[in-house]
Amino acid sequence: MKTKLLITIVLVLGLIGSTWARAVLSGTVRDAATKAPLSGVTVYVLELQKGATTDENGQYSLTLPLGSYTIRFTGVGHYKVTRAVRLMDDMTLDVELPPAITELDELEVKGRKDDANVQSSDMGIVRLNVATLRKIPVVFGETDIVRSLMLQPGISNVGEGAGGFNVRGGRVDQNLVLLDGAPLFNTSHLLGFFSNINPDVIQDVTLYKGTPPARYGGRLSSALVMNTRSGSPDRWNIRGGVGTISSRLVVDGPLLGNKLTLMAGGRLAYPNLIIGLFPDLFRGSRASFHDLNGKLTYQPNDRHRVSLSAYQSADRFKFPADTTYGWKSGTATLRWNALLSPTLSTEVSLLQSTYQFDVDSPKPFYEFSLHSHIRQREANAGFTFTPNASHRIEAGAGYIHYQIQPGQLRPAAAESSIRPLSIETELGQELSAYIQEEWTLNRALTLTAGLRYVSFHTLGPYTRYLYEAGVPSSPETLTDSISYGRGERVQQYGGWEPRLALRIGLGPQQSVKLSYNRSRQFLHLISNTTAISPVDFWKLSDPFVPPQVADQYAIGLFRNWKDNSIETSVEAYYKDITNLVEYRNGAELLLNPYLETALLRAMGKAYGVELAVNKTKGRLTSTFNYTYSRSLLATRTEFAIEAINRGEWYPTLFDRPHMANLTGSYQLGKGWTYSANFTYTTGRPNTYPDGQYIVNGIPMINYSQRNRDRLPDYHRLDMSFSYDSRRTRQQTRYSIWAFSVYNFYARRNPYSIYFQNFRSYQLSVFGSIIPSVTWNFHY
Amino acid sequence: MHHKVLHKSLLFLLVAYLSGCVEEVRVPIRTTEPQLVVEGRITSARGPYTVRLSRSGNYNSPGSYEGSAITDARVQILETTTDRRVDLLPVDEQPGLYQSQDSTFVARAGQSYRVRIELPDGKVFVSEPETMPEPVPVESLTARFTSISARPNDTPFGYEIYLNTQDQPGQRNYYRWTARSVIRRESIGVRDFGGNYNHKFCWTPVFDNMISIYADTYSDGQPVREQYVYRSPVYIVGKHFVEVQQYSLTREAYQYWRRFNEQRQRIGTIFDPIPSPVYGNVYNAADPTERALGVFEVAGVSQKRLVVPGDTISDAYLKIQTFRYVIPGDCRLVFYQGDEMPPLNWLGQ
Repeated sequence: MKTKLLITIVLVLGLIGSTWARAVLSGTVRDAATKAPLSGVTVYVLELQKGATTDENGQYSLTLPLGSYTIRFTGVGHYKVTRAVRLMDDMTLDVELPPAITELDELEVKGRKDDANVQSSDMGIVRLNVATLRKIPVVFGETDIVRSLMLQPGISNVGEGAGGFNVRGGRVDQNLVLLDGAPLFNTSHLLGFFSNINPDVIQDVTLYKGTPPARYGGRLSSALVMNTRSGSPDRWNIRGGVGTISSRLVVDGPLLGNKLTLMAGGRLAYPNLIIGLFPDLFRGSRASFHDLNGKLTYQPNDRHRVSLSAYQSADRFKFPADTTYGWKSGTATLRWNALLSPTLSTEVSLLQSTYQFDVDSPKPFYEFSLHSHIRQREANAGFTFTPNASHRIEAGAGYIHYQIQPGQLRPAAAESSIRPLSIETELGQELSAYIQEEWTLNRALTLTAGLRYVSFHTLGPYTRYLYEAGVPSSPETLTDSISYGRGERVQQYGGWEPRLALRIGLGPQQSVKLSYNRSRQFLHLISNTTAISPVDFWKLSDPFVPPQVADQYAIGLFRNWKDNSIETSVEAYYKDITNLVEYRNGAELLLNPYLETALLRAMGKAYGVELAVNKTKGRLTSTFNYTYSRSLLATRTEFAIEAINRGEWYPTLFDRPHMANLTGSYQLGKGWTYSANFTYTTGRPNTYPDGQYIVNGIPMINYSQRNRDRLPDYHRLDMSFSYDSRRTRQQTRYSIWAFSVYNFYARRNPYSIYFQNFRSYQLSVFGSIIPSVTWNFHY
Repeated sequence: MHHKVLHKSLLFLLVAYLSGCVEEVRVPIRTTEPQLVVEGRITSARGPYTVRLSRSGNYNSPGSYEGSAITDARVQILETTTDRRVDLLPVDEQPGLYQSQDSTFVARAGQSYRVRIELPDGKVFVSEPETMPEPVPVESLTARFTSISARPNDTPFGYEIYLNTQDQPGQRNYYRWTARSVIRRESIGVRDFGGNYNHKFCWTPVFDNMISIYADTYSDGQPVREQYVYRSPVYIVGKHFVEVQQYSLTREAYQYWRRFNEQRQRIGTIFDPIPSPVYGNVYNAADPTERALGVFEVAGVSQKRLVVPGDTISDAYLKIQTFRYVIPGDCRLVFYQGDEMPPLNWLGQ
């Protein structure tokens, strides 16, 4: 009896002892070639089957019982590195991961630890490996982050050449696209044919389709988080590429000693070369675009880092002797990251993002220039506290100030008949605070519970128009107006946004995950065309336009087979959305001072099942995914006369029930890789005519039911051969050649169907086989 | 300013440039309920005022709407501010057309009007009462010779007619212009016993059905300059007698025609506005959600005439280009309302 008691006491003391005898293991993970910190690297303690992920500065921290461990570091596009440590006290372990060359060591390249898909509570997350994007066959050889996302389950767009992307049946404006933390309001070059993010400057890309971390908010569908690379502290690197449409150049290296580094890059396009080959009618048209990125990073020691990054993208399109269109995006971010103690880190950021478009028309007597812009300024502070391996707590707060000029018209010549007209500037502010706990209860259960509170104010000066009750509002039914002074609070919206995710492990290779989240969106893109265009403008919530609110529920089953070499998953989701912005039939949107009279409210729902199979090891890697999804909409108005399709549910423009993608990559040896993609989607909804009549002697077409019809199905096969001249991991000078063929069997996929003189025509873009060559160099 | 902000040609250019291609396809045809189509107008000029009624048919089956004129309706225009009303009676020669007979009923700017249509099946359609805007006078018309064809297979020559007017400050003005001209045409003529061809030349009225509109939203109180309103085709040398009507529309009517034009100008890119039915101001009185296609316009109107001398063109050059428009027969019969006498006193009072 005494012996038993003694043993128990020893055991209990031992347990307590082990609980108290803990130390913190922390450090920074960097790229071995560029010395840039790597985020999203999994730091995994093999003995304890516990781990952590590096933050945006490559820092990680683990609280572990004293002892000896094997620590494995795995990051996207890098070789994994394993280190043995003997933890007797708080210690620092900095690690450098060599960049992966698929050819050299095919078995070792993994984006993350082998079973992360099953073991983490994350769902609906896509991480892109920017390095391998160059080998994916693309149109005109232009590597494109946004286009590459289309190969992922649940992501689509309204057609080739359309800007933006749709995630799980959500609108383009419901994606939060962050570049170094700053939101981008437009992601397109050349009206949408290319995206405006230079892949050469990007270090990591993460897309949250389901429940994003609580620090992200303000958009309903997704968060696309991209971070630019920091300069190397050791040496100067030059990398670049030459393609059919554009060329790229990025330089990076140390400026003062190795504490201050610079990364600067740009892309310049020359589409005019191709336009010049065109018939006379088009001669004189000029298109151009460029984008620039820069980042200064100051790192006095391993615990502090300050970075200043900036981005600019600009487009111009001029028709001969006619209107010129120009649009520009710009961001600037100042970030300070600090490791305050081995278990506590902080990030403080200040940022600004702008988007503007300008239209200039030289039409005699009516010369005008039209300007519109949006500006967002933001301050954020966040903390991450990792007291031990079972808990990870994040908390923070943010403030956003919005300014939107929806449209400003000015005469552009003294003789012009155009009178100046300026739509009232919209102002607003958004305050948010969040806390999130990731709690690993035991091997089988992980709970991530986050809560975000957000409060939005429409601020004066603001003119609120009052309309006659009981009739649809129009400029004719305007009765009065109320003016609000500068800074006055016109309208408040907001509330709690829960973010919940639960993982239930069913053995080492299988788990079930559940998630729920609510989100609010106070910023709406006003666009009544099939695809968004660069001259669509943004609108803040105001007394007439409440925030869009979405609730998303998801469940997923994850299972790995054959030593984690085959990953399979099934995810199902359901989304319920209120207060979507819709438009009355024939609405006039731009320069409309009574915009609210052109808007309607709608509710939306989207649901789907996403199936994925990935083969991640071996010379041949491949992924297959299939998505069944629906995205529907119904207008809600008290006046039946305004309702679209009589207020019944109808498909959104991007409702594509069946989508499938098959991608494969095979290493041929000697640096050569062969890749192919096949993609299939149901045609997007379209409105076909269903009546005809004559007015004023003119035969007219009637379209009575919106989105009742569908374009024919879309499918396409692309292939590429790429050559990587690297022979060793340490090689810093090398080239990558990509020879790609887009639309291999030259399918004339429908871009649109239109009607002229009572005949129907189908327009195809990229309707033939498009070969291209791109050369990328690293020096 | 018509802010088709993304220039259509720009988009076509892009699509062409990105190796696009166009092919004809068949689309499924749906059967839909016929809808009432109303085309009517009351103006500040003297009558007769007309309303045309028809029904829409299925898309791509022309038989289903040709001959769809509604002939047995009861049509009335009401002056809602005074309770005066006038009946519009069917015109036998033109099925579906209704015309006011009472010449003492003259509409006036500032008064409010609506149309009432009782269909043979008993349904009653009415328009929203609208106040007739004041007419705005036309300042001047000018003509410019052009050798760019307006339509394929038609004369490449024409006079483009441009209008100048002064917008009224401090109020919203919505304009619509219609125009016609009387031009000289040539036929082979009729051979008489002496072997001479007679009735080779005559004067015939022509018009187009372009919907030309303008709003002063962005140019209030400014002159409307060099507004293109009409193209008078040139086949042979001769004067052009041009007449332009300038209507002052209500905002509703202007919006109708704007949407009407937008619908016609769709070219099928993904930057076109989403298609929708083009409804005007006429609806079923018992169920306002049932709407009629077309519009009943309540408009002030002013008129301006111009004579283009048409003598600056080289006859020989013209003939080489336009001889194929000389058709066999008596000029007076082969051309619409052909008359051997030019219009008299076109500009005089």
